[in-house]
Amino acid sequence: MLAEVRKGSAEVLILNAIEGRERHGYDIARFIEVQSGGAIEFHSATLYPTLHRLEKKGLIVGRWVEKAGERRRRFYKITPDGRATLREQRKSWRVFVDALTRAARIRQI
Amino acid sequence: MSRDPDAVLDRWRRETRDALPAAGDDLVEEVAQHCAARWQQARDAGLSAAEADARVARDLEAWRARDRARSRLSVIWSGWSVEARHALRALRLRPMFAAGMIALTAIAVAANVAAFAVAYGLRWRPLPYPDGDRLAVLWEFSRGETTQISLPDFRDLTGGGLFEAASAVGGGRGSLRVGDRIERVNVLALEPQGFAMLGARPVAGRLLGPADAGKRVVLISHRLWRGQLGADPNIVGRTLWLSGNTYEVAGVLAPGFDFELSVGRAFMLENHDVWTLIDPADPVGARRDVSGFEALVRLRPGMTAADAQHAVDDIASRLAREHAATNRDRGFRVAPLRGEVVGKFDRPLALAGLAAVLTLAIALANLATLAGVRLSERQHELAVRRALGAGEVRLRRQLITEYAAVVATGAAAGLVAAKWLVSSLAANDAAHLPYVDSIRFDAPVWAVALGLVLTIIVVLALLPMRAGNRTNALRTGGRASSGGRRTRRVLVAAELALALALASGGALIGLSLERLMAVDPGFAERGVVSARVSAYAARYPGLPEVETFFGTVIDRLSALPGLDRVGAGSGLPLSGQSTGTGVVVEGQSADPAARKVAGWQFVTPGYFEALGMTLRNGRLFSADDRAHDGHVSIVNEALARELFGDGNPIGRRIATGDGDKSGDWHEIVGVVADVRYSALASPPQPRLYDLFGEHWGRTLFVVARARMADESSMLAPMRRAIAAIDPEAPVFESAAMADLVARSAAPYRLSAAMAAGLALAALVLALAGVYAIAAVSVAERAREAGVRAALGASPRDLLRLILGEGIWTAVIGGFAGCLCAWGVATVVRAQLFGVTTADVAAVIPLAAIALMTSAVAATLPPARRAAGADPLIAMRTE
Repeated sequence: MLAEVRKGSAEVLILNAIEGRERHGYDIARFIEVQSGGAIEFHSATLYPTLHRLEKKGLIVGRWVEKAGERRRRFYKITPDGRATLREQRKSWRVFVDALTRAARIRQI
Repeated sequence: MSRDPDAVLDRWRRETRDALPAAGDDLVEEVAQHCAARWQQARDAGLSAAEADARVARDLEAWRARDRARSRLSVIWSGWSVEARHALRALRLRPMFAAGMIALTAIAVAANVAAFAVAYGLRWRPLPYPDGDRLAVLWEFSRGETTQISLPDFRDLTGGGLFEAASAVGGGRGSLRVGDRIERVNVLALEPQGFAMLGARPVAGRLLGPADAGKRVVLISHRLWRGQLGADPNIVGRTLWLSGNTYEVAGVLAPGFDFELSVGRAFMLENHDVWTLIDPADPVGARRDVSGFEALVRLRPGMTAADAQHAVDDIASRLAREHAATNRDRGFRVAPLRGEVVGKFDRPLALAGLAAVLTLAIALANLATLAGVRLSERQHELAVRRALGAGEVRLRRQLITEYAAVVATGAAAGLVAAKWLVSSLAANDAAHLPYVDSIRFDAPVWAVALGLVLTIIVVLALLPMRAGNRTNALRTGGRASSGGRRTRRVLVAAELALALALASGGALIGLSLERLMAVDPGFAERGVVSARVSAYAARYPGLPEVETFFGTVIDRLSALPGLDRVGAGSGLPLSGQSTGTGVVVEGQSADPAARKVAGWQFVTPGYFEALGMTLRNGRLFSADDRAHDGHVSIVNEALARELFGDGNPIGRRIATGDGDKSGDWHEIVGVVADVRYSALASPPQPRLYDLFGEHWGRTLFVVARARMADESSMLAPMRRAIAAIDPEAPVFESAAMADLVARSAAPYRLSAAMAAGLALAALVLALAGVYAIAAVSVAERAREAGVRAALGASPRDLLRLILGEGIWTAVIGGFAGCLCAWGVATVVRAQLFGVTTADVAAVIPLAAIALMTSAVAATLPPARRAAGADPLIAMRTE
């Protein structure tokens, strides 16, 4: 269960990171790190296998891009399926986090 | 660590590749970029290089942890397959390193496997006979000469049950008529039990038994049957025409069956095509004074040759009492068969083995040096991997896998080369190896090859993996410590020492060949041709017929336009034929013990002139000598000195054999110059020449002086002229004297060629090692050179610094090499011709100086490069 939660959370974080624009792997990791105030740090060993899994599922598309004056990098872009999944996941995460908060008295109400 | 983005990325590409050995290139690139960016970010945030390293390393370690977590079992297995892939990639990235290691291993394996295969085949493989290692031969010796044995002596020695089995052996040559051609074949006569002792087996017909004694029946070799006799299926029962008589074929022997034995220095019993029984009615067999048989015995189980020798000595002293006339000074020697056949190869084998081991040592030193250099290049890589959590075991395992890959490849190439070397050696007539069939590549040879491979891998694996354990390679940026450099210099010095030993050994062997070729053989080397001609008994029953036949041959040959000065004799220098006799001088002691022993032959007038021998005193034989009553002799200088000291031998009378008792005195009419008779390398021995007709035999060497430069072109007209006299007369062993000289020098040429090849290989190996080390240590010290240059050191100072190190290494190696070379020379000199201690003392320093100069020259180019070092470039590598 917990492993699945972690896996799922990584997926939603990544999809979220590229919802607005396409990013390369390190950029995604930095984005999440900065957004979480440094609390969530991705190992490359977690990040890239997850990216590739998402790509396999058709939720994101990765492609090598070469820009003038820069070295070629692999950029990831969210697909329509990815957006749909992100919407669904946000919903179910909200439910889950609420439940967790209540059940485990994470936040004092 | 530079902060140049490309350099950073390159470095993390390597690290990533290492952490994700099974990943595709795209993933590696992504992760590497990730790591590089993360590292830069850490640096931007103010972390030190080491802290940044450690942070990113943790990230990569997560990949390894992920790998490990998958399955313990699959990791253990995949460990090696990953290492193997890793190793192959590492090797691909450094093709010169891989090629160098492969070549070195190949050379070492080829030399050692070839040497072992030959040595094992000749020395240790069981002889191809039942209980072959208990077979021995008996020789007679009297007054220092080892000869064949007389049949009565043989019966007395073996009749008392001393040996498990015994058979007299008589070797000879016969003329076999096949269709309308006459061929010379080797014939071996045994006693019936001799066939069983040798494990003879017929593939057709039967063996010969006691009932066949005295009958004209023979066995033939498989080779003769398949070859000249066309594999005739009905051969058993057919008759063969052999040397004027007809024989019935009783059987065909199994393929490869033969009996080999060296008789004397140059003669070899071998390649027998016709096998028969010793004729019990042969009158020679009853005579104790004619020693004309070889003797084969099988020792009883548990009996050593020394035991047998004691028993034989007892019988010999009894025989000396009972048959004083013939046996007073006669002893007998029991010699194991193997030693008799292969004994003369012991020294060349030992030399080849020594050279092979030296080559192995040099190659090992070079391999260790190369691997050490490579390790020091990789200190940084290894340090980073250690920091990333790779265990020592894992790192070592990768290195060993890398070594195993190159060593195995090199060994495979070496084995192919060894096989080629061995088969060309076996096929080489000059080397003339016995038992070539027993030189095979089978289990023992494979075992040695495997042992070599393992030895090389173990030696490499034992090299210290860190160049100085206390150094933090991460911090020093991968510079090797001075400890690593010292080890390498010791290796290079050792290599130089071994190369010097091999090179001076090679030079001595070469010098020996030169001395040998410069020897005056005492006869004309050029323009002389010879052939052996037989007058067999069936057609020429007695002396008058034989004398007439050879007289006609000499007349006809003299009439050939291309020839003059024709003669004949029972012996010929360097032919391998040899007979000896005791000589007694009239008026001197007739005590048998005081008799001098001399080589002996009979010759026709014209023999000395044809051979170009020099008359020193008196006269040569003339055609009139036969007409006179008194017998005449000619002696060589050595015999004249031995018999008469400085006195004049002309007119003195001598007797041979029992001539002093029968009154058969010969008057000495001339003294001729000494000739190298048995071999170019053997000093001339006393020699006595009698006149053909006063003594006689059926097979003579006919020699003739050719008028033209290309004397070999006269061989065919000679054969035709003899065939015109008697088409059935066997003419064989026809050759130019120049060819006999070349053949006598052939073993020396072979060793000289081998020694030169090995010495050259050793030199090239050693110099390549010196150059590589110099190049690497210069590269290692580039920073030091840069700093010194920045501090004001001139290029000359830098050159001196680097060269100084090279010179010291060369001097130490050269000095140690002189000691090794002296040791090698002591071993080698014993079998070299005409090489003195003074030569050794001259050759070794010369070789040392040449080698040391080359070694210093090899360090010069890298040293120059260092001297021209730009301080900025050197320091920027930091």
